[in-house]
Amino acid sequence: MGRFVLKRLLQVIPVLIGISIIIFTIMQLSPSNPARLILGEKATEEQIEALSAELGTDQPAVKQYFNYMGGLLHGDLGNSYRTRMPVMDEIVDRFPTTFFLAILVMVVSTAISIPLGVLSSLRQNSLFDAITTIIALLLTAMPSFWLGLMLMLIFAEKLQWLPAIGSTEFIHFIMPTLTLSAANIASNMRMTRSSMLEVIRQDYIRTARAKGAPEKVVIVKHALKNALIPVVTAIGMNFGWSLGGAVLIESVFSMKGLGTLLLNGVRTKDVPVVMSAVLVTSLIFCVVTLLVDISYGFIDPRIKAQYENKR
Amino acid sequence: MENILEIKDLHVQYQTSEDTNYALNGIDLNIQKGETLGLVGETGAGKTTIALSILRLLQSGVGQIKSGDILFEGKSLLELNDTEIRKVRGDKISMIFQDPMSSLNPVLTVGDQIAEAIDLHRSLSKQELSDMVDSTLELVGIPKSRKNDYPHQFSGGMKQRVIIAIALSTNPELLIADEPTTALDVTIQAQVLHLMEELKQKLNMSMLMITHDLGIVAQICDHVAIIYAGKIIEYGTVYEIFDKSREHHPYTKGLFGSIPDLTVETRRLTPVKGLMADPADLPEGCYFHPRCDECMEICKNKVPDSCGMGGEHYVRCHLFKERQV
Repeated sequence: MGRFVLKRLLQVIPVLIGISIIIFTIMQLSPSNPARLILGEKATEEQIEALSAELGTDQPAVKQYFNYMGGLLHGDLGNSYRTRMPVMDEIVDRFPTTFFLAILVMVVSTAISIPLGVLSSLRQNSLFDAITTIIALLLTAMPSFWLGLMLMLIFAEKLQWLPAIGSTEFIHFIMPTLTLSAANIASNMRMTRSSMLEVIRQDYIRTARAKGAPEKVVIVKHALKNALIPVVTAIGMNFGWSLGGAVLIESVFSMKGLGTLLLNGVRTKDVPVVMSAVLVTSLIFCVVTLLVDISYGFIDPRIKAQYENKR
Repeated sequence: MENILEIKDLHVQYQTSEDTNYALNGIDLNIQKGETLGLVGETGAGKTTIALSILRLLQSGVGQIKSGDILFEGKSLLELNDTEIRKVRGDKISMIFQDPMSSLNPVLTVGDQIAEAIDLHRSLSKQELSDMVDSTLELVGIPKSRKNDYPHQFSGGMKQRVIIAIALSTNPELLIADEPTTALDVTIQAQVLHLMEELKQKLNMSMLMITHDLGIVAQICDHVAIIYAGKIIEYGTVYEIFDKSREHHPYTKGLFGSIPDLTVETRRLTPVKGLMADPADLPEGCYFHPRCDECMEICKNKVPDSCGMGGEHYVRCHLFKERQV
């Protein structure tokens, strides 16, 4: 098991290098000049050249890339072009907001979607099943930024129950969480339902019933654990999407998180900021995927045995 | 002898969106205390449906008991509510399923799965429960040290032993064995059968042995019922059924014609021609008539009654009704 985890952690390194190359290349492809963006239209050529020299953006792209990556090896994420402050400070400051939001979304959507999925699988083709299916379709079809704006309109504007923007208190997280959870709830619920439907027809479920086990035990102890593997995968993937989706939602709700940092970074071609925000998000995503894979081992002893046998 | 189980005129249908499958069409069957009844028939004849009906485990919404009754120790199983039938399942009546590969839960240890069966019906302390799991495992010849292993760490024969252990852990009065050896290779088959026979003697159970293997029937059954398209077409003691000097149902003759006899020189085996009747579209009259070599006019429109052939031997066929008159 330890060997498996170590191997997987080592695999994260090439993944991050690949991502850094892609992001850096894309940033270079945009024609704008960071110094020009910072100083504005009225700045003279001399001012721009001076600033470019100071930021290092006058150097060849490959050299810039290796400068940044070299700093990264020492734990230095570089300084923002715009604020000249270390990007690390900014990320440490903003990361908790995004991470907390993603965790909230994961908890809320899991807590809602799994019970609903199980119930609709048990009542396949019933009215309840039909209604949850329709709701799932609706939730998936709604664009998250639109849903966010609608929630804002209803709960902040009309009812005035919740603050429209901000990210300092728990109450600020309610609407963003609902917005991001909507699509997750729909997909996890459908996943749980279909996975349960498959498991519930298995012979070992009949064995459990033949033992005289009550239906509740049959469902929770015998069926759900077997049905969870694809659901856990989906939950892990969705966690990654939540981190990415935060870019949109954080700006809708003006939250001070990684998403808005990234968005501002892209607007001003602030390469160190964009690179760092994307790499941190990717790292988290890799770690979550690894956690999901490890959790398989706890769910299914057959997978655990595979991990242990891997050399 | 007292009957432990009586099935009376049982009709079961499987309702699918396309059509209705008439799986059981008036089954009458008794199992006496302490005996083994062999239920023999082709795939699709309704053998497993009988077993699942007894435990009321037919897939809900699809399989329905339309009419008839099933009495266990004189009380109707069909009238029990959900809680009451759960007390019968696994405690008084246990079942061994056909496919050992898929009948054990892959994410629970073997010990846990046996313990669950006992725990559901007995209130024991943790230590007593654990001791009982150990002794049940040893009863079926598996070292108790393996109780914390998962099903994937066992071979097919071992898994079937575990399934037998689960079924026997509560000392049931009736054991339903649904083709317990079909998925196993011949040497393991012999071991498992031997084991079941031994345990049956030890625990004084009654047994319903579902199989399509006449060798197994000859080896361990007291009575035999032959089922075709959801009807018992012949019933008798194992001696009566295997007695070649007696007259049999044409289908039974066909079944025996399709197993090799080592004492007689035969060039080819004679299979029963044609295919099993389609349960969604059963023929008029005797269900077997389209495949029967001795089919008469009456067979095509009248369902035959059961007629006594002497002793406990009954055959459901028009041939004998005429001869008896």
